Amino acid sequence: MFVGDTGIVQLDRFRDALCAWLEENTGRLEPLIPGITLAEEVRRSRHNQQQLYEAGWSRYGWDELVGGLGGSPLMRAVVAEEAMIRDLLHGSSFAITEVVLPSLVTAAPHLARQYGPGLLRGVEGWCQGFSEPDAGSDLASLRCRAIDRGDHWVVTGQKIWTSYAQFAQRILLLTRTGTPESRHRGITAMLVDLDTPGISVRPLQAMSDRPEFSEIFFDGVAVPKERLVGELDGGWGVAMNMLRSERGGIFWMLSASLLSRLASLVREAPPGPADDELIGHCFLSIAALRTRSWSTQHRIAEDSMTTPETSIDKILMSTAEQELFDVALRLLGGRIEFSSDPDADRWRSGYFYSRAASIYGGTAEIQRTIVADQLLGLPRSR
Amino acid sequence: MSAPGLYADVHRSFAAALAHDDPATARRNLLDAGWLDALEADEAMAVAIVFRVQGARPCHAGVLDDVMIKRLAPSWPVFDQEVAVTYPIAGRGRSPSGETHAVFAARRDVSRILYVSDTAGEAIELLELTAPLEGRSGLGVEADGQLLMLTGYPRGTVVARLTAEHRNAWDEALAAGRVALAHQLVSSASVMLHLAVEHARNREQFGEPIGAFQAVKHRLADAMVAISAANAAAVAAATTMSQTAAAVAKALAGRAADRAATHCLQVLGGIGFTAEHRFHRYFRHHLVLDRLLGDHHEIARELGGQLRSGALDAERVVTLADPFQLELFETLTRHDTP
Ligand SMILES: Cc1cc2nc3c(=O)[nH]c(=O)nc-3n(C[C@H](O)[C@H](O)[C@H](O)COP(=O)(O)OP(=O)(O)OC[C@H]3O[C@@H](n4cnc5c(N)ncnc54)[C@H](O)[C@@H]3O)c2cc1C
Repeated sequence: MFVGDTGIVQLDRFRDALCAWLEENTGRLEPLIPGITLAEEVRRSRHNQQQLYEAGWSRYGWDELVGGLGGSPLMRAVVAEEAMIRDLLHGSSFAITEVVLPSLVTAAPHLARQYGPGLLRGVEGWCQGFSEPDAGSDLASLRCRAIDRGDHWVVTGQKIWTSYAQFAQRILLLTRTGTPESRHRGITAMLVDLDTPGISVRPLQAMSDRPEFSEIFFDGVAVPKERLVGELDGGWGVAMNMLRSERGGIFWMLSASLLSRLASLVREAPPGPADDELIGHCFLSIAALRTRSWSTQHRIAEDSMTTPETSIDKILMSTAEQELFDVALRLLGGRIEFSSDPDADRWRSGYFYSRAASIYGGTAEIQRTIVADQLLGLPRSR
Repeated sequence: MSAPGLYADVHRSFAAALAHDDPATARRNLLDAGWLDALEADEAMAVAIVFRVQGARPCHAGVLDDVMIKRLAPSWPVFDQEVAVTYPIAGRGRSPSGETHAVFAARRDVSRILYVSDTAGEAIELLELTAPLEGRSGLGVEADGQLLMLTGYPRGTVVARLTAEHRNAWDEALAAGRVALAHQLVSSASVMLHLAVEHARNREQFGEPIGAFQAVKHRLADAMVAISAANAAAVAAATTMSQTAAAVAKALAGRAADRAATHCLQVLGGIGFTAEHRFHRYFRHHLVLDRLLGDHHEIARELGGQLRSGALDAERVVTLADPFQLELFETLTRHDTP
């Protein structure tokens, strides 16, 4: 309907029709209103994902393998953007779909076919098990071990800071299959069911008092061989592809959400003319993310964007998000620090979460080093 | 939409035309190379290429006037190519010698000027000059005789005044001018970055190239991030041509150039501070460009005021339905690193 004979997608018509549907169907959607728990936010987000899937909207831009209707990946970004600014999605848990699914379609089509639709429909949640207590920025040093037992692996080790694992059914896990010294050459990715015996998930309270992530213990966990994602020892490439796709559609969605948060901040805590420069610069930082993301979306769709280039988007994202909540802290004049009404709670959790934007998904320092080494070609340090 | 390689050809021809120290000659060459036809046929491409070349040289061939007049002429048909624009520069502190406006020296022989009192579009007049344009060049940071500073109201008679019915045209002209300047700032900033990266690769201290030090890497990475965002913003604004997107592009470009100037000078060290190294020409150039048609702090204030009034409540700056020209984008990115 929105994909013409030439294959050219009529994005503006698509968006208009989507917006009209969102308008007419407010009755079956459950917005993430202030004052609800994180668990309730995640539940509502998945409910809304399910509605969008059943009406077809969130199936556009996805491969048929995962229940998609085909078309440009730009369509996915449009759906996420419009849903997000209406507070229908919990952005950071919804993000996993964009992180994992595109890579799964290419690296493990059989798994994408079997499990992808459940994720896309929002009937289940997944999480991303990369970081470990001793492997943060230095991801290639990870140790969670997978031992070959013929028709299955046995996984033993620990993951940490795994976002929303306590709400998830499956985990995209990076394991060590090579020697401990093999670094990025000896890592294998697999999709593991979190209800497999031997796995325990312990939610961790974040500084915001919300359980934003978990630690996960694997004690002799049997994983069937067909759960392999990509090649044996090819997990690093899979992980790099995931970082690239995360920084596509999700950042586009985020840029729209930051613009609307800024507008609502200005309504809720009216600034004076003396604040014009402050809020204007904040608008500019969000617009920097948004215009860059616009070019990134198009370049990813035309397959002309490399993973290191997306480090630029990551830096712009964390800068814009932190600047917005810095401004919120100032303009709200004490509400974040001293109040506990639903609106204040919401600004506070956003404020706290924004503090992590320069840590998760590769820290600000790691991103700058990638830009310097891989994009500017500066010499590696000895 | 274009034959492969067209962008690169246009770039080569405009760059050759502008490779002349005398701004009036550079302008004549550019007109001969078909600049005005290109502006008519494909504004996004023509403007991007010409202004990027100007930023990389750096020079001013008075082409900003053409871009602005193209927007004003249809609804206010008193214009032709022989009109030069005066750009207001008066800030909060008045200089005792009274400079109020800049005119591109490439246009010093015109017979008519558009006298712009302020960028908001209040009190704009078209003057028929009754005496040659009087102005001084070589003032301030501008040393190459590319600008002429006016110190008083020029001698001439008012032919026409911009009235309320032309306000939209002025807003469009301002937007088009800001997009053009954004391109020029992006390429000047890119040259600064390029000079600093070259230096960081080759200059050794403590037995290592200084580019291996993380403090140096991160400064240059920050400059690249700011320039990349400004680059995308300029291309996006050229596509949407909305006033907000144009304001964003100009301000992000000014901000990026400011960051690039600071970080790159730091990395260049002593040699960057000399008049002998060509870095200072770009440093000076970006100071001038940032001021024209609103510097980045001024534009931030402008946007802040609009935010407060609710005018930006539904603003998205750019949408995915806005078409993206991959070939133009890649050509620009390639040529920005000389
Ligand atoms: C809210 C949140 C959600 C997360 N979600 C997930 C998830 O879902 N899945 C997952 O796998 N992980 C997740 N993480 C983990 C995240 O990816 C790591 O925190 C991150 O990679 C940094 O690792 P670290 O915390 O061990 O810090 P470290 O790597 O120990 O870094 C500490 C500091 O040292 C700096 N540093 C380290 N190495 C260098 C270097 N070479 N040069 C310069 N500076 C350096 C860092 O930049 C940082 O400032 C999440 C983290 C947070 C905060």
